Amino acid sequence: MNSKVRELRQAAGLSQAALGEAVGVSRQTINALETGRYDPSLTLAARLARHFGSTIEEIFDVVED
Amino acid sequence: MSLRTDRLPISGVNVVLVTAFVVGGLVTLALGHVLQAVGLFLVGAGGLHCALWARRPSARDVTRLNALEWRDERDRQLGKEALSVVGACALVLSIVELVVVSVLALDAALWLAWVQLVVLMTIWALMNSIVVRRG
Repeated sequence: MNSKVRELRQAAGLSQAALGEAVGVSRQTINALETGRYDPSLTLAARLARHFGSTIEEIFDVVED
Repeated sequence: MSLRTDRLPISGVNVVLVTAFVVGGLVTLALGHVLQAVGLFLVGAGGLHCALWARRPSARDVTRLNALEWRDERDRQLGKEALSVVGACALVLSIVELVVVSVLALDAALWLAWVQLVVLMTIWALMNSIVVRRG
């Protein structure tokens, strides 16, 4: 799954640890999201969308096989 | 049982494990087995130290998995993935242990139990490293 988490986080001037704390996950989870190694739960995706004032669809893009 | 309890300084499962070692150590001491009691106390203290170490905000993900201190949904997913392999290995090893003890009528069943524990812990640590690299 592609995501815009990294660019949104950097635009907001946040570190991975700060974003993780804001949405209730670890720095490593934010890193795994940004590098495409981890697909978030619906709850986490919604938290991230709310945090960035965006929508889940705008942040995450499902890549069809 | 939850592995994450924000109200406690360590996870619920670690509370149970540390308590088991301390209570086991006290009972063993009361029975007069001083060396074994010291061993149980040391293992309990080591486990407590590892759990507290893994609770630090800067702890690595594999450290949290190894200490059963899951922090978020990714930790839970990876932890369960690693533990599922440990569970499968535990079933096989338990059967092997039962067969060996039965065939040889061993008095050394305690040693086999220790070997099984060490093998399972090694597999667990290895799986934690693998799942963290993958996910």
